[in-house]
Amino acid sequence: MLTEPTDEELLTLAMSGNEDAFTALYRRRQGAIYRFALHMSGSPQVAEEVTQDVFVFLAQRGGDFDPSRAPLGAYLFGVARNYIRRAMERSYSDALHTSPAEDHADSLIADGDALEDIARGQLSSAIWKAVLSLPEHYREVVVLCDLHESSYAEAATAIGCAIGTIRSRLHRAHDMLARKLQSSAAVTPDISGVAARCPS
Amino acid sequence: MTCREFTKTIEGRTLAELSSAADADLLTHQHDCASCAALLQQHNSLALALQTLRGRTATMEAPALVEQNVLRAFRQAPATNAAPVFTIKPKPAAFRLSNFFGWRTYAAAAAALVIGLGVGLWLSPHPHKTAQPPTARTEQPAPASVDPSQAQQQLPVQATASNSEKPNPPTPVVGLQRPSPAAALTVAQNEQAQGYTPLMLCDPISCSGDAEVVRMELPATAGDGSSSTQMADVIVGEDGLVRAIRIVQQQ
Repeated sequence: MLTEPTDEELLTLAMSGNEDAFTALYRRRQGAIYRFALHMSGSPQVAEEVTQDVFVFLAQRGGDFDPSRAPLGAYLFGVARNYIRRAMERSYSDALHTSPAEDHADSLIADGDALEDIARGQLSSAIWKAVLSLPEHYREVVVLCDLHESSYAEAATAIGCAIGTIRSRLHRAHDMLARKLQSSAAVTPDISGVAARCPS
Repeated sequence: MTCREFTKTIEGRTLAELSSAADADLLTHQHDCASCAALLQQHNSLALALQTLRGRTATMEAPALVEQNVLRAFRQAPATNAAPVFTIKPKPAAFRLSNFFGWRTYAAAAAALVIGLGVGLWLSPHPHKTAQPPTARTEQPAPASVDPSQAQQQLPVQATASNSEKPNPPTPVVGLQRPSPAAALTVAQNEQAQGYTPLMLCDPISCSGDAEVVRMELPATAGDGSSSTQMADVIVGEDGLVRAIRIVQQQ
């Protein structure tokens, strides 16, 4: 029975010059990195640029990876996080707060034909806009844990903080997102009546 | 379950961390509390929205052009020496400060160190001149009974030489010593043996300091108004008091 090589095994082969191994590694991991950058920045252009930079970095500096410190997936998220931050510092307005991000969020609405699909598209657009409006350190835990289903440990490794910090940030981010969705009556009319938390 | 417990627990439901029993407790409580029911609805909506967004973006991938660019970079990688990526981390403040001052900081520190060492050496106590053999009286023990002429020959060489040329009052210090308190009496006895006349009764402790032998010109007689002088070797303690005196026989 053949087993799939692990990420670390593929990287070892790639660092010895095996292009097939590097291609396999790229195809296995590029989607997660692209979506992470897309969710963080809201810009497909930034997501493409970050994905390319992350794997070019891996091709050139993959020998520096230490598997005893983190899994390769978390390591790549950490590299991507730095590139996203750099890209957003370089063109902050283009990457985050202008039309490309929101246009791409709105494009989710037009994907379906059925009424339910449109409603889901509106919901996706609303939540994505809410996620993009979060401060960066809250946004990245929501993207990693909620949208990428990373464990707390994986998110903590990628971000470089304690697991407890991930939990507290996620809790706080959910509160903020819930309030943002509550204020969006068109998308979530059923929760617009929630005025306050329980008094007890 | 109270409303406070409900509020604390509901986050776990969003994160799908609750057991079935805790989930059932939440649902039971929200039937009796309208505000908690609204809060649960809010969290359910958030979870649904996140799940929907995750589902609608799950298939998004980078374009094929990105893969081509990456593979081209991989083929060129062995020939390139790219700089590390993580260079945007700010340098520590101390490092930036040292760059600000540059080499002047180290030059100033070195100069301060040299000056400090120099001052320290200058202020440190100087070694005694007892290392000079001809001037140390303790190194010239005389026998208990000695002829004054022989004792005179045991004077320091410099003193006798200056005496043989001409009587120049007063001559410079020719010797220093620091006898121990226990040896003070022995020193006094030696002075007597060398022809010196003690002028004060020395306590062994108070007379234990340095002493100098000074050759000076003294009046030959006191109170008669004559101007004749007499050369003498005088032992002066470090307290300024004359301990002993010896008349030098002029040739």
